[in-house]
Amino acid sequence: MSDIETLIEGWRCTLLAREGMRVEHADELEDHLRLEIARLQGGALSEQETFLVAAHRLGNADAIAAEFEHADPRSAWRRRWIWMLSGYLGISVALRADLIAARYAELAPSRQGWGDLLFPVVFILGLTALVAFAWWTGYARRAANGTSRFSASPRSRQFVLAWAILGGIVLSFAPLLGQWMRQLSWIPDGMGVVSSRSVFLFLMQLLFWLAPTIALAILVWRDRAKQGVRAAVLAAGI
Amino acid sequence: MSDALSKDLVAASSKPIVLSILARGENYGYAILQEVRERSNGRLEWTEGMLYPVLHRLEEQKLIRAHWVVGESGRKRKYYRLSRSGSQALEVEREHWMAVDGTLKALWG
Repeated sequence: MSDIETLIEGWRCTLLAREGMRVEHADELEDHLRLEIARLQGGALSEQETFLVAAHRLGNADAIAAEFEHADPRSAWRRRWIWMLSGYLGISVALRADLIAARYAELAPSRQGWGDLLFPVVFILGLTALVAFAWWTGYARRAANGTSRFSASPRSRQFVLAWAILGGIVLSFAPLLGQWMRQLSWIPDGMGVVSSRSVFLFLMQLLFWLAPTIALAILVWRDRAKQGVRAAVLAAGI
Repeated sequence: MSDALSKDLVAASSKPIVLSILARGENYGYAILQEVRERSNGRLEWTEGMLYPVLHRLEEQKLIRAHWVVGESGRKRKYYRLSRSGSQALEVEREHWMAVDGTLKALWG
């Protein structure tokens, strides 16, 4: 990579590190920067100087990012939702792990049946959902920086996102599912969750997980209709 | 008389200017800025990067449409063109700016 390419790459990373800056915005600004550099070349300036002049003319990265954010306030909310969801999913998994540990401490390991399987299965599903979600957000970030070593197709990235959302929904319903299975005598007494606590947990999870998820899905769907899948997926991730 | 225009005036006029340039045909950011510089004889000093959020906002408002074109070098360039509602918005802008222009002319007449 030549000197100027390194400078441009660094400049691009600085831009993308700003909140509200999407890959397509950076692509467009980079095109502008390159045109300006090309125009300045051939004059008295050195290669590095042409870069500095061109970058200065484009303006301050913070100010540009702030303007983009201002122009599209919905994207800021999308990002906040994403972080809220991932944080919530993490807390859900931690809670569930605590619950499982408590159940296993109470129950003799010899008891076998549906109930013994339910919580580990939900836990593992939740954990994979968390990993999927972390990978997905991480991927979007790396792709934005142009440092991704993977070349996942938009379809497979959508699959990962769908898996993360599904995991969250299953986690949300797990306490009620446990209750229901206990009523059907699939789970031995003592295995199901206490009813008032499970209903409370369910309502909290419904509030914090499902509502923003549905809102996010609507936003992504509306964006996708307008901008194409890739833009919407990346926009939601960074 | 060669002073640059105030920031407020530049910001306020960015929408009608961009719409008017795109009314002449589809174009991309860098060329739009050059056109602005030429037509204003350099008096309209835009911080270059600030054009892009303006374009993004107009695109969000569906006044302009954008598409990416991959050039010979393999680099992508984003082109914009006026939408139908953009043409209507430009007409409204024109009326408003003419009203301001007319008022000032009458006062200074």
